[in-house]
Amino acid sequence: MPDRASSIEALYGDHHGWLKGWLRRRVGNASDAADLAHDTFVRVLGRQPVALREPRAYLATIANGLVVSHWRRQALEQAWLDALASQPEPMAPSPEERSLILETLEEIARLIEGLPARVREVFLLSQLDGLTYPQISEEMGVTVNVVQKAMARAMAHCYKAVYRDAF
Amino acid sequence: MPVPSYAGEDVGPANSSPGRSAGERPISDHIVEQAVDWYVRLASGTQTAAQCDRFKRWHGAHPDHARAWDRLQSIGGQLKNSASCVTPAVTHATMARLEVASGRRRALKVLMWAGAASTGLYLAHDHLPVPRLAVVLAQVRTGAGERRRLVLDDGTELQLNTASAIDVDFSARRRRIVLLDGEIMVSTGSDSAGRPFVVDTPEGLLEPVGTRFIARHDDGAQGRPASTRLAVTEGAVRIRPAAFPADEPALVAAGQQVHFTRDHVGPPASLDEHGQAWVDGTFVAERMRLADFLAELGRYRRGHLGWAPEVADLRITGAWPLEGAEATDRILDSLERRLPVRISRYTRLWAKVVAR
Repeated sequence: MPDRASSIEALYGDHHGWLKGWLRRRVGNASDAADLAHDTFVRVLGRQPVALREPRAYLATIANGLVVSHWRRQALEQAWLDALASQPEPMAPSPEERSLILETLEEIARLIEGLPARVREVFLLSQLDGLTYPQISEEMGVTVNVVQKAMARAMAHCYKAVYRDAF
Repeated sequence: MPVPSYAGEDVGPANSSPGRSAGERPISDHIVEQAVDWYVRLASGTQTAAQCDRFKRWHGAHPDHARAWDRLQSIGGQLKNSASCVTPAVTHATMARLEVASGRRRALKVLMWAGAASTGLYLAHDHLPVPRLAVVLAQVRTGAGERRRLVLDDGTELQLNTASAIDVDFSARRRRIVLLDGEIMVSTGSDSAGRPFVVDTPEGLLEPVGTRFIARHDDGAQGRPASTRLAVTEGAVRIRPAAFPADEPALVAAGQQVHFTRDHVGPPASLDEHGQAWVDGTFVAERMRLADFLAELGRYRRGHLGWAPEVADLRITGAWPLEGAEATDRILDSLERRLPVRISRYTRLWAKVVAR
């Protein structure tokens, strides 16, 4: 097997241009594509060396994951900006606040991602707004029993989202 | 043993990003389930002293019980602490919008899967996309109390009223707006390509003829069928009810409004001017039954707005601004000055109008 550094160098030399083009078609602009291509090779460096029969498929698989998180971040930021614009007193957070807020929202989104809308709403009303189950039941027009079940599902889901690997 | 804090109480600054630390022992699924069970019971806001005592015994019975509990507490703490940098209202609104966006993203993923399969990529890490309800795929949506104005490429102006959702579907052949939920005002633009313009509601198709109109969809309840209300302020609109798309359409002229369901178009009535006051950000009532007034006002607020039967038939007249998050609270407060009623509030999400 050739040594690792030279094989990655070869991978970079042979496929970096192709990968940038591939990413550009997906994200629609050259500068995001260049950043994502860079991140892709950083990931490759951090992984166990593998014998590559299809190096482009390998790179595209990693890049694909990065594109999805890139979209996710963009969607979150857009959702937050829209949410801000809909508030009665629009705020203009500083860049530092902005990244703190986005990080916070990203963590919440990751926690509840994959939960059905109603379960998520129950969970947020309880844990974010501090409502009691009878209040949530009134607010959402469901029984307290349904609220309890939704809470159990949401907590088990969040636990897995955070501690999945520690089970 | 320090007394554990309970879910639902302020636990003080918890670890802001819970995550496993390296080398921690895993906790058995069984114990996690018990901890979740306790968490759910103690977060109810109605827990009893006896429950708390039993919980303390469980918590002290094994070190893993306490560890599992701490993990759940840190998840709850993360939500509570988020309020220090972003208000719950903004978090709610962001997550609701993200759901809309992720519906679209899942649709995109399907396409990526198709593309990936043909190039032989290994994509085993992603689960298959889940089919979404149409309402989640809406491209534009407003929450309770929000209104939103859009101008489309062809110059068409749209305004979404509170709690509404639409899909904008413009193709080379036609311009189509799908009303999924709530109420929109449409002022059509003239299209240089001459594409027809339609508004699709669950009850039928609206074909405007150079026009300005409002369509409001009502899901129906308590024996009422789902319906659309069409109010035309300029031009004219043809209605094709969903059950009879090929029949001669009913024509509604400016100054008229009609209710229609999937299989029935009601008789035209003259336009209720107050029904379009929301476009200018105003809530108007003229000798309106209080029950109807509150049902209408409830569309503009999150949470529960109820009333006692004895106040239902009181009458109210007035005009109020709809701007701002507390707009509906101000309107409710003004009821106390105008009518023999009192507003009882338990939380900011629960209000009831009762006799004074």
